[in-house]
Amino acid sequence: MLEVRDLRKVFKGGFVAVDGVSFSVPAGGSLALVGESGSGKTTCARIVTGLERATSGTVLLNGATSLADRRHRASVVQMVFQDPYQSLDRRQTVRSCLVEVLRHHTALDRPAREARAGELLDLVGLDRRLGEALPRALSGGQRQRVAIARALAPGPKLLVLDEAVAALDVSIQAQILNLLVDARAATGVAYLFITHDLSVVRHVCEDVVVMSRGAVVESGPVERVLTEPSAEYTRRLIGSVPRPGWVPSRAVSRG
Amino acid sequence: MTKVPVAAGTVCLVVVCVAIAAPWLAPHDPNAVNPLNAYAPASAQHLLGTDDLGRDLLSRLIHGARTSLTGPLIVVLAAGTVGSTLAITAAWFGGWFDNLISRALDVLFAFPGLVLAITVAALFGTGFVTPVAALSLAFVPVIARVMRAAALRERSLPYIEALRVQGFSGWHICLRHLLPNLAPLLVVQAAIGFGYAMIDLAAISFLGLGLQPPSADWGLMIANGQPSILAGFPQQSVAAAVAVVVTVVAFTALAERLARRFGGDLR
Amino acid sequence: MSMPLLRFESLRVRLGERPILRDVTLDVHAGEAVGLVGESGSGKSMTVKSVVRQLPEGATVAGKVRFGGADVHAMTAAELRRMRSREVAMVFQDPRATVNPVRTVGDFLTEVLRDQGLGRAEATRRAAGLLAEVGVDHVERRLGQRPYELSGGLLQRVVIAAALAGEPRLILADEPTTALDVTTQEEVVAILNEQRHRRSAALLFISHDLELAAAVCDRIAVMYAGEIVEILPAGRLHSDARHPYTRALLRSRPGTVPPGERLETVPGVPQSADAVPAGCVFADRCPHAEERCRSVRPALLAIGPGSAACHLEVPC
Repeated sequence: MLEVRDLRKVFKGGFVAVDGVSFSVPAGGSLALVGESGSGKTTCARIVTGLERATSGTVLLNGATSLADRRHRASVVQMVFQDPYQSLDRRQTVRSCLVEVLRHHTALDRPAREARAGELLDLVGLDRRLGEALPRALSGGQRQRVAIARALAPGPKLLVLDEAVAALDVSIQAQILNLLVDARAATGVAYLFITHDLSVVRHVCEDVVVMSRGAVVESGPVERVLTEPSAEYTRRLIGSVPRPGWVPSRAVSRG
Repeated sequence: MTKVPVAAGTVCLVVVCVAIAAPWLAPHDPNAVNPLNAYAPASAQHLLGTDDLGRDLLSRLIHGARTSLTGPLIVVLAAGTVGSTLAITAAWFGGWFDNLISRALDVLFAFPGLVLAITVAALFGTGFVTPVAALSLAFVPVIARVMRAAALRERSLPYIEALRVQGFSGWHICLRHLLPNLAPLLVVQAAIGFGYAMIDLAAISFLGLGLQPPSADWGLMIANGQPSILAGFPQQSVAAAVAVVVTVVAFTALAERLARRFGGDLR
Repeated sequence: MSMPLLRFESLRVRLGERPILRDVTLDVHAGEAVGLVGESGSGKSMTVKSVVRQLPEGATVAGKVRFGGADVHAMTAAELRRMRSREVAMVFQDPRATVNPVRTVGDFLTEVLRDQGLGRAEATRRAAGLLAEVGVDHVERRLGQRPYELSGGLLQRVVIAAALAGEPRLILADEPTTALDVTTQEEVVAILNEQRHRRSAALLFISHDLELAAAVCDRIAVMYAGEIVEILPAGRLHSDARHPYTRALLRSRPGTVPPGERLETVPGVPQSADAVPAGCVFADRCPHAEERCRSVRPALLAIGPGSAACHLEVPC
């Protein structure tokens, strides 16, 4: 479904954000890109969604390299952003936000669009009455549901989730994670999950790519990488997740 | 706290209504000369008295509201449209295009609006159109600068990126999302600009470079009333000046109130 | 038991008409670390701010906050200043907002020390010592650097060093590692822990992460909608949590269930203190709620090794 080969991104000023990264997501699969700030994971996501252009390397979506047409690309890849408070237009109601996307991507007529918008709200577990609400009337979790519904509206094959649950409260995070599991089962969409949180990875993803300073450190099935990490960095990452009986240590020091 | 904006809003509304309904409201023909009745004091027939040519002052004031309001209105509409278009395109495309537009606006900004308008009027002739056009041009950078800063801030918000990921065109995003979100700020800027434009246009008329007699225009009335002041009849200048000041203050107060109201919304 | 260093006596805070804290009763003893855990809007930050009287304008306070026996909200300006500068230190979430961006790290640290009457040379020597203690390398060079030259993790260590400089009896840490990467978080938390023990300072540690708080603290207080709903020893968190909210929080972490299984969720959204029912603050979202939960407010009573505000004896 998604095949990224030897991706490299150099920003103005010579900063190398991504250096020779390759990974792939099968149709309906779920891959996590894990890393800390500066690892280049978000840059990868932005290149996949077309928000950023790679310096070199190829991105194959559905086997095709050139997705110059933005509308076509958007019908294949969609994205959910980290900040639920700012990723929605504050002057647009939930329903109009969904209908706008449907009008852009589908040939549905007005009643069909309205009906589809209602189905999308059901899919993400939002009361249909909230369709008339403006974003400011919604909680963080509800806004993130709207963002997911909007991303699913064009019927994409791949959903890029950029720290999509990081800004949410723990109990809300759980709701959204469950929703993501359900939505994948219901629609067959594949996930590219960008996160720093390993426990989230274990829950939602099948495969994982661990990144550090722009390069891939380790990759493989989640189960294997998290239980028998081969790279020192992965071990450190796993070791620093707070858990029962965890004792923080400052052994890991860096300049 | 709420009294000021309500009062200001009422004044604005009244002035606008008066301007629209001038022909029906004015008790006399504003240009009907009657030398036998010059400098008549306030009376039941002439509520504000008459001027040096015996014209009814109230009627002239009421008719004057029309040109005195349409001038600034055209200025803010024109400058608002051009200014926000430049601002949004500059913020949207960024890079050298933004630089070009910003520098051009800076150059334009360096000319004081009033001086520019006076120069243009002196060069291309007096009347209504020339000063209004010149002032519109002078107001473009004032509005464009504020709008560009706001557009840049707005453009950096994640929802704009979300729309780009949705595959919407730049046109669609700018017109349907960026502009509506900037609209409150534009309204505030226009309302503030309106007051300034009104004073500037009155000044131009006062200097004799705008509308020419016998037009009923507040700025012109202030100027024409000057000799009468020396003759001991200040009514004309005073009445017109009060009209200008009250209207400008009302519009500015309303703009300030709107700015505060939308302030939270824009951040 | 001795007199606690810090004591909240049914503290209630209102902002205008809106209740922010409904009833906070909690003791922090000398040298003890207490974790205040809750979701957004639970009032944990307000609780900490009330200790140094930095509540937002228009806040009205009922109940008492006692520090070393003295009522904080009855202190004179001089007493308050003394307490803030000598006895209580604060570490916030964003170190960049805490440190003056145009002054050097050295200036920032020595300012605190000079305020205590140290000479310039002595203050610099002490500052260098403090930085070394919190695990900052190349100390001499760091003292001359400015905040933008340091990473978030390093800068947070500088803030901790500054907090320790006054030899405080109490450290207030408001989500000190939330803005940091996990590996950096581990180091910063380890340093905070180690320094606290070495100086036997008390710690009030705010976090939204139960596991993190449990690793750093001796006791955990769980807050919800402006109330403390449960207090228990950190080591007994998993075995003895009674309150349905605490347990829901523990189970909603994605690491707690095998992959593929559903996470236990709490329906609804976290409530703020001004929208809670007459009875238990959690009744609207509680899966076990009964009639009396909605009408009678449960008191925080001792149960097992801790205390919980719940009518129900829900089996663990």
